[in-house]
Amino acid sequence: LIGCFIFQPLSYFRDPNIMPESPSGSLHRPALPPGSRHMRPPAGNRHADLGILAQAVFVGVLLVLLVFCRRTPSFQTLSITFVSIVLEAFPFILIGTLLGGVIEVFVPRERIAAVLPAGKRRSIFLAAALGLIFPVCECAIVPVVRRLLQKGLPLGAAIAFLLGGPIVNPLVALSTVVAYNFDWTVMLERLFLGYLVAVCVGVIFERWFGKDNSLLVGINRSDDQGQSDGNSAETAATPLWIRIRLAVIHAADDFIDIGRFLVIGAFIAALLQTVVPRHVFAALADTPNLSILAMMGMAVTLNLCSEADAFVAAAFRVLLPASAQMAFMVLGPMLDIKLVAMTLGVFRKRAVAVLAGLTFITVFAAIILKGLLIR
Amino acid sequence: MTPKSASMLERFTVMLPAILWLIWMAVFVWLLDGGRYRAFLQPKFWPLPVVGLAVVTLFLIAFRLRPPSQDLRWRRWVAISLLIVPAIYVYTTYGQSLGANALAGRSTGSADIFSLEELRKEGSAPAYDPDRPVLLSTLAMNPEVFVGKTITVKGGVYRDQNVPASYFLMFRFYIFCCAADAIPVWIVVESPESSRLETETWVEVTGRFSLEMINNNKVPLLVADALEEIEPPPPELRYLYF
Repeated sequence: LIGCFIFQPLSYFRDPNIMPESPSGSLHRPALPPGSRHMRPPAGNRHADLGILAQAVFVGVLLVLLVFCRRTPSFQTLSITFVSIVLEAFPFILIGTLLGGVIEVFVPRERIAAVLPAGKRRSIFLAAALGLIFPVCECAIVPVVRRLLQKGLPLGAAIAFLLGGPIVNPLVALSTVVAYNFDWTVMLERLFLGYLVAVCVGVIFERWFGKDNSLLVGINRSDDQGQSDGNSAETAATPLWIRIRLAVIHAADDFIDIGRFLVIGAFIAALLQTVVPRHVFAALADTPNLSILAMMGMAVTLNLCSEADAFVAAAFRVLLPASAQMAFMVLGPMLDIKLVAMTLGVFRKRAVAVLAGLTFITVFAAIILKGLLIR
Repeated sequence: MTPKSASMLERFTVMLPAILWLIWMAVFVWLLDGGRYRAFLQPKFWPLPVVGLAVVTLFLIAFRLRPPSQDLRWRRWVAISLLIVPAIYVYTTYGQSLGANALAGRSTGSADIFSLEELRKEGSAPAYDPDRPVLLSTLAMNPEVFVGKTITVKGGVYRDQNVPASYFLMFRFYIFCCAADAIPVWIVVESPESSRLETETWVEVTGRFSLEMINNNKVPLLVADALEEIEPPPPELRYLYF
C-alpha cells in the first residue's frame, strides 16, 4: 500500500486529472471535491511575499543561532523549551488537522447548519461550550476552527469555540482539580469564566467583523464562485477510500500551512521564557491589579498547554492572590504567542490584533468583576 | 540555471512534503527509542510521539506528487524548511537539560519548593527509610516527614556570589507536561566542600534535614555529613515528573 502511494512513478505528474497548483493555491482536479484548495495567500500579494521572506529569514536566524550559540547556557535553556513546546504541540496539531480534513471531506455544510441553532447569538452560546463534548486543546483547535469556518460556521460561533474549547473541557477541569488539591470551586470558576469570556468575545467580534474582512483570502468560502463544498453528488459518488485519502491530504496541507506558525510562536515563547525571569512577575504580587496583569502577561509569554497551566498557576499560590492565578488560567488557553501566530493562518492581521486585545481586556474585566462581586 | 538542473529542482520541490514526513517519522521513532522523549516530555505522555508518528506516516502514505506552480515553489521551500528546523533542534538539543540558567530564570524564591506541598495526596506520606535516597520532589511535598532525619539526596549544584561559600543550592526540575512548564525544586546544602563544587555538577549528599527561617523565609536546609560528586544521569532521567 505504501509503495503504491509513495513510490508511484512520476505518473502523477502526467495524470491529466492532477494539474499543478494554481497561483492562488487551488488544485484543479475535476475528479476531486473542489473544496480541496490550498489556503495560501494569492501570489503577487506584496504583504504575503514579505511575510514569506520574513519566515525565510527566521529559518536562517534559527540555524545561525544553532551553529554559533549551541553551547551557551541560555541558548540551551531556550532550545530545550522550544523543542518541548513543539514536541508537545505537534501531535495535537496533527490530530487537529486530521479532524479538519475529515470535516472538510465528510461533513457537508448542510449538516453543520442543521446542528447549529437558528440565531447567530444562540450558536455562540452553544459553541463556547462545545469543548465539553469535543475536547480540543488550544493547539488542535485552530485547524478545526479553520475548516469549520470554511464549512459555514458563523464567525462569532467560531471565535467562541476557538476561545472556549481549550478551557471549557473535561481534561482541563480534571487537571485544575488535581493541581488545586481537589478544590472544586477553582475548577468551576475557571470553566465558568472561560465560557463567559468566550461568549462575550464571540458576540463582540461578530458585531465588529464579518467573514469578508476578518478571514484570509481562501478561507472564506463565500468567495468561492462556482465551487461546492464537498457535498455535491459528484463527491458523494467518490469511493470511500479516495475520500479518506483526500481527508488526509487536506490534513497534511493544513499542517504545513499552520504548523509553521506554531514553530515561529514556540520559538518566540521559548525566547521570552529564557530572557524574562519569572521573579519579575512575582515581584508585582503586592499590588492585586498589577499582579493580575503580570500573570496575564506571563500566560501570554509562557505558552503552556491548557492541561498543564493549572500546575504552574498553583505554584504561585504562596506568592500571588487567587484572582491573579485565575487570570493566568483563563487567559493562557485563549491567548498566547503560539496561538496568535497560528491564528495568522486563518484570520487577517487586523482581526488577529483585535481578537487578541479584546480577549485580554475581557479576561481582565471578568476577573476584576468577579473580585468585586465576591467582595 | 540549466534546464536539467531546473528539472531536478522541480522534482525535488515536488518531493519536499514527503521528505518532511520522512524526517518527522525518523524524529518520532528516534524519540521513542529508549524513551528519549523523556528528555523533553513527561513519561506519561508517551502516546504523544506515538500519535505523531502515526499521523505523519498516514500523511506519507497519502502523499501525492503535485507540482507547485512557479509562484508557489519558494513558498513551499520556506514553509517546509520552517517545519524541518525543529527536527534539527530535537536532535542537537538531546543530551542537554535545564540547568543553572533555567534555575535562575524560573525560580521565584522559596515558594518554588513549598508550592509542591499542595500536590501532596492525602494519606500518602512517604515512609522514612535511611537507606534509600529521597527525591527532591518527595522532600518538597512532605518536608515535615524528614525534618530532623538523616537523608540522602541527589541533584545538580548551583552556586553564585549571593550564596555564602559554605553553602550551595541542590536542584532538579519538576515537570508537569513538558520541560517548558518545569519548575525548579531545590534545597540549600551546607557543606565545607561547597567552595570546590562547580555549578551544574551533580552530587549525592547525605546529611540532616531541617527547615530554617532565613530572612523571614522558610528554607529547606541539609547539613551535609557526606558529599560525593556523581555522574549526571542520562538526559531522560534528570527530571522529576508529576
